[in-house]
Amino acid sequence: MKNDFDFGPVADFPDPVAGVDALPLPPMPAAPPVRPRTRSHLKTLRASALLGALVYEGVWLVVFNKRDDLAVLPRTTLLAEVAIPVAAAWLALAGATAPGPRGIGPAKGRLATWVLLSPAVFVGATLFAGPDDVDIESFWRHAVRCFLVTGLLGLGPLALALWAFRRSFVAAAPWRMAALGMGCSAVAAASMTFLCSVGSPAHVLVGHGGLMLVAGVAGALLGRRLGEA
Amino acid sequence: MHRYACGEDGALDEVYRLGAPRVRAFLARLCADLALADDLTQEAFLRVYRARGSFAAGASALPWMLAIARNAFLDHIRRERVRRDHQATSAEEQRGQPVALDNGSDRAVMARQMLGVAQRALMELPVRQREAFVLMRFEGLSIDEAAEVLGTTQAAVKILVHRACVAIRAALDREDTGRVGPRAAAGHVR
Repeated sequence: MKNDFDFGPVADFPDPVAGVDALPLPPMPAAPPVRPRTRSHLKTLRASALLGALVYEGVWLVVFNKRDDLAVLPRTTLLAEVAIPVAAAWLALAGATAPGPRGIGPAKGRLATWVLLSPAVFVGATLFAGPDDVDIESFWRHAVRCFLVTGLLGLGPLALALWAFRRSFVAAAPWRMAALGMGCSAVAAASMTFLCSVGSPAHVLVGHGGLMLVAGVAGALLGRRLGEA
Repeated sequence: MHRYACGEDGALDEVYRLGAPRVRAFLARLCADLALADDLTQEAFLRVYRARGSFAAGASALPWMLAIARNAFLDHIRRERVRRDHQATSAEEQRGQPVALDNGSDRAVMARQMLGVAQRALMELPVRQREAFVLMRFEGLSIDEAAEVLGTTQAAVKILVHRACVAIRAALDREDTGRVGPRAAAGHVR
């Protein structure tokens, strides 16, 4: 480690606790009764959580009625509609789980870029790609219904992510929990693409992507309590 | 730490033996109370145990431990703030009752003896500035490492440390003039 800051006028500032090393250390705390997770346990746990989240999505996709136009919709259109939330999810989850150069997590600037890029990509690509057929009459009814269904689809991934990443972020926990919340919600938004045929940007942003905002804010607010190691 | 993260429980003693002195010194610099620093060191190591699986392979253990110790310190500050608020609101009910204070332990006495002008100057800093200054000045972390431990940007760390340096210099100058002042004043009277 090298110190790369010029302390100038306080370069000779004395260490206020010089000599503390000579004092005996406090006794080592007793190890917790439950054996803490090892690195490989954690890796398995997180892989299981990811698999569980995908299974959860798959089950709901089987249970719910698929959108009417799924059979006739051009593959490229469907692919584009799915790719947008998947890209947003990947950005957010990559930002949340990146170990960073020293295992503490990515630098704040980079983390913030990843985290903010996720909703930015979702909003930008949706506005760019979506058709302009907004039915104002039924907009809120549809949007609220889709928001609730997206919430149901997102519940599993969110709970599993919380289980797998609980108290494991040593720094910037609110940012990383916000990213985790947004990523899981984006996965739900991707699943929603198979259930809802309304492709207008306003509907997709509010009905399918609204959960990203809610989960992101909740993650940021609860991040310190739930995610901080 | 790598061996402990991989599940070798026997490495725990070594982790504590090598890490605890650095963590305790870091916490003592932050809170200026050795007894409290000892308590927080124990709490930090409990967190280290629990979070061992998230320690990345090949990473340096010290910044990771310091980040966890910092979390323990900040949680302590928050708890204290809540406790103080609660005490303030219930002060009316408790009026007339003796308040028990228990900061007379040997460790606390030794800590008080150890902490002088430098500690006062350090403690006058806002917590964020103090953390950044201690990490870079005493723990020897680079700007990048300090930024990661504090969960902030490198530019913010530079600003925090610069402000801390300015504030400490001012505090030391005040202390100097305070020491010189009375003598000069006494000379003037004579």
